[in-house]
Amino acid sequence: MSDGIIGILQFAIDGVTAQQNAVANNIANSATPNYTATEVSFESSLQHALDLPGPGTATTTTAPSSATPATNGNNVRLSDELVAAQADTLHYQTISESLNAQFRLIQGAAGGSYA
Amino acid sequence: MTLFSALGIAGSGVDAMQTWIDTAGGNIANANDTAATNKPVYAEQTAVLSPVGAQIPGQTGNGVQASVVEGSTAGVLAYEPNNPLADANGNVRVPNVSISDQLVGLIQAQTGYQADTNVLTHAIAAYQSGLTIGS
Repeated sequence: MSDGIIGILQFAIDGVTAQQNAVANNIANSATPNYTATEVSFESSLQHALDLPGPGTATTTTAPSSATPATNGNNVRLSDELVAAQADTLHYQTISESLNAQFRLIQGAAGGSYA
Repeated sequence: MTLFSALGIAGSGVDAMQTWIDTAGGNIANANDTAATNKPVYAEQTAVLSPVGAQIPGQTGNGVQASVVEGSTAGVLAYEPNNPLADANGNVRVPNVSISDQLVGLIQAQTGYQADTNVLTHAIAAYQSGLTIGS
């Protein structure tokens, strides 16, 4: 992971992208018999790395969901996934806006305009 | 992971649900077919959903696919002595289609279709904001 806020935001936007792909795949397979949902998490690992006094390393983990499967062996919870799809999008937009704000700061500091 | 993979994954879901809706439509349209007992009758079609590729723990999959499996053309015998196709015992062959099963499947497919298009909308909004980075 590269240093600084841009590196952190970059890691986060990659993590959200992975979450969004997992949600898309879970929803696409919401009626597939014997499908096990996947869950992607990176937030707690990132938080842990940021809390360390020195440099830390964060990881994105993809794991099978432990939710109880329905009678057809599928454990996707469609409503949860739809909420996650919405949340991931807002998260993604927030991070890309933060990245833009960082770049505007750097641009201003380098003699350009802050606008 | 390819660029914009959520779009491909959700698109595979839309395709699979469309196949499911098509099979249900065909089955319901042909539910009242009749044939002579010595002839084959409409075979019920089933859309079988499966994940694309193997499910590997620790990895996100690549969407869903639907394959259409045809049932038996034997159907079931029904007693319709007034039907011109009836045999000497008054029987005709009809497809073994359960309308209630088909309608339930239709609702499931519709729900899945709507959820997949919802994902497409959200993924497009996210990718569009991603494309503004640095501009």
